[in-house]
Amino acid sequence: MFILERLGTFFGILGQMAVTPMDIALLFSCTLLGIIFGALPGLTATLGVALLTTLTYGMKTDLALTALLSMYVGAIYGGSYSSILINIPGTAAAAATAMEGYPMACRGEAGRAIGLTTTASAIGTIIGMLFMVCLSPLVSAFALQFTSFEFFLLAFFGILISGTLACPDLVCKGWISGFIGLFLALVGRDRLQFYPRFTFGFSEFDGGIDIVPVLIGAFGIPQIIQVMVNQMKPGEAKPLERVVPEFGKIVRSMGNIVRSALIGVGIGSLPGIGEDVAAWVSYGAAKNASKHPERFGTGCDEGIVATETANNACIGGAIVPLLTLGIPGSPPAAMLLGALMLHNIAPGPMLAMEHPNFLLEVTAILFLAAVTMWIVGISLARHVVKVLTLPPMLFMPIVGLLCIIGSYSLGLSVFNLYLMLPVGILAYAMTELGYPIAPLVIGVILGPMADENLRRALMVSQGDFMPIFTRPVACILFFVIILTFVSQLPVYKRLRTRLADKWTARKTRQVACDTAADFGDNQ
Amino acid sequence: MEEKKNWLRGVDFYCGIGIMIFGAFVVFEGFGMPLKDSWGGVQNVWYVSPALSPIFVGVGLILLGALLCSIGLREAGGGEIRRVLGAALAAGTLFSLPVQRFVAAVAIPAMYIYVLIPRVDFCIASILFLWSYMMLFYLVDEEGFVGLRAVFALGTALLCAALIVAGRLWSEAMPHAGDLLTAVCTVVFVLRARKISALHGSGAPFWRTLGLCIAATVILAVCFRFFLLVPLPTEGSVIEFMDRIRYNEF
Repeated sequence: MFILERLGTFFGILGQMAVTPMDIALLFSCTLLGIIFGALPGLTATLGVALLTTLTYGMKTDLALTALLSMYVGAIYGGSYSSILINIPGTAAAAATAMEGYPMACRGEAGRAIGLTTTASAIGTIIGMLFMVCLSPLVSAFALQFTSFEFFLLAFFGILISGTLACPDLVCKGWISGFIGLFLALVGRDRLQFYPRFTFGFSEFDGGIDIVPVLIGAFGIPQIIQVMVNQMKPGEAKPLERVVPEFGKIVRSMGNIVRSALIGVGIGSLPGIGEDVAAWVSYGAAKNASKHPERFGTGCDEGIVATETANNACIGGAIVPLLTLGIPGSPPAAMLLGALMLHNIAPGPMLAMEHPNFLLEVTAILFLAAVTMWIVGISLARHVVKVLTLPPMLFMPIVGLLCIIGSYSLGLSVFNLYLMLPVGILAYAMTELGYPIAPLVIGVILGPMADENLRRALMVSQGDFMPIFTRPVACILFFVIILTFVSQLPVYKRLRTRLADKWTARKTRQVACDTAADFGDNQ
Repeated sequence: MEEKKNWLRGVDFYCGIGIMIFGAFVVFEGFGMPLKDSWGGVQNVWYVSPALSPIFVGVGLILLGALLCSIGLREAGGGEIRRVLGAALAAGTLFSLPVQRFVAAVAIPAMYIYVLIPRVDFCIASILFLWSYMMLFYLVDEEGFVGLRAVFALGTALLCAALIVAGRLWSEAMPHAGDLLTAVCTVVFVLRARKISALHGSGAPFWRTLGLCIAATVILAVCFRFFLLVPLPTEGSVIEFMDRIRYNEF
């Protein structure tokens, strides 16, 4: 009965949105804008959501959410355009798509490739949405049992796992990035005793560092500097003929789609690990599972279906921890968290009680965004790809201007700008030296949660750490953190290699002995 | 590839030292916070102290910095580490074209945010910001960049000095003097860029780019000021003019 009631509410919201002109207009315009943002190399989904956050600040929450989620879905899909047509991924999430999409475009099959990515992305988004709506209530109910120890460990685990998995170079760089984020989160008066920490006498720091300007600085400024310093030129686009939906091919690839969607949802639900990781992992899985792995890299359908399904399914996965625990699953989800906080919505286990229909609203918006994305992708792709000829050095300064006025407009504070630029320069330097930015952002977001909950938990236990070992979830989280940390230490890696070598040597000796024994018996 | 990795490990060594120093600073500051003393009438115990997290973060940074240092030292070796430092301090690196481009790419928003936005009309400041980027990075090739950098550096230095030093004196006598000065600086940059781009242009359309700078600024200003009702940071001559048009005050 309860499920039927919820289904009725869902279809009610869906029907209401589908007949409201403002919702429809926002869905189409923001999805199109998202596709353009995703398609243009240099602009990212996170930056798109960040800039739109500043424009939707004055809107009603449901309208703002429609705009932001449409932008998110559109931008993740839009990255495939430049991957396929100019071999430059529009977003990191579409990097794996370029491996197969561009060879297809070189063979004159660009329309087919975009048709496949459009349908696969729409299906991926819908599967991600289904997982989101099914898993979120379970995770929320589970999280209601959490005490401060669990929340502290969860926040710390989020930062640690994000640093471990998002790092392109050494894992300790990811952790350093997370710890720098934690430090930034400590700036301001602490929320338990109002003691000013690292404010250096500036009253503007008393309230802490505003998340949205930090996010805009961390994701916007490095992009602008990179484009300008590297003099990024527009690529030469391959011709795009009619875009074909390729339903038959999609139906035949259902196994591949389901597997990739599961990978996308799973990776998306890990804190701070974005769509790019999901796309690469699903690409690898599709190659391993394929009957013809040798075709991968030469323009293989299975490859682009896998990557595009996974990166869009990741959206639903990233929203699960965001809504249930207040932990963003990907960088654009981190931006969404900032937007929700601006609209006085605090994601977490209590969200389902404070806003009972919120999850259903998000589900309805994601569903409509997926459908809108498919319609726009199939019907307008040939026109949208014209933006690929725009030189990045022409539009990046305008994006910079939007970042600046957007950051300012959120708190009407010039101090936000004073903070945004140094954070942006720091993020650029870190990117150049191989430090990931996602853990820094996750650190800034989860820092207050970690700080408050650690102190509150110790206050309740009178400074005793034993509850960590007596509470099952806390205990599991604690050992997972220890294992994650230890498994990345050079000492552990050396020990593991030495043990593996010893094991191999022992095996070889045993085989040699057996062979000698057999030989002796035969003699 | 291997050489680049070695270089990165060399840099990691120095970054590790920097991170350890930063971590030590965080720990030092943490110990300055009330650990067992009373704060605001509340007697602290170590586990409720505001110093707990800073000390934890600081110690974490020190340990991770040490780990990074050790990895850098082991993988790159002493020779590479010395070579990285020598290369970083060499005049050729410090004054190379990519470094100059980086400095310009950072100097433009820094000038805009720290000097222009609090003092000059939003529209005029934004046009100068956009034009500076377009002029140095889009309209001209590398030789053109070299030709324009001196004009840009001198022009912005003079403008910033005038706005910071003399701005307060003008503000009462001539409220829009800063706007005028910035507009003049923009015109000088436009004229100079026109001349240089004729010799070392990148092939980009000059006047259309200038038009784009003005159009983008005006559209953004109108959207934020009149549709989103966001008061702009400094509303000078141009915004006042827009206000008059909007509210039919002519």
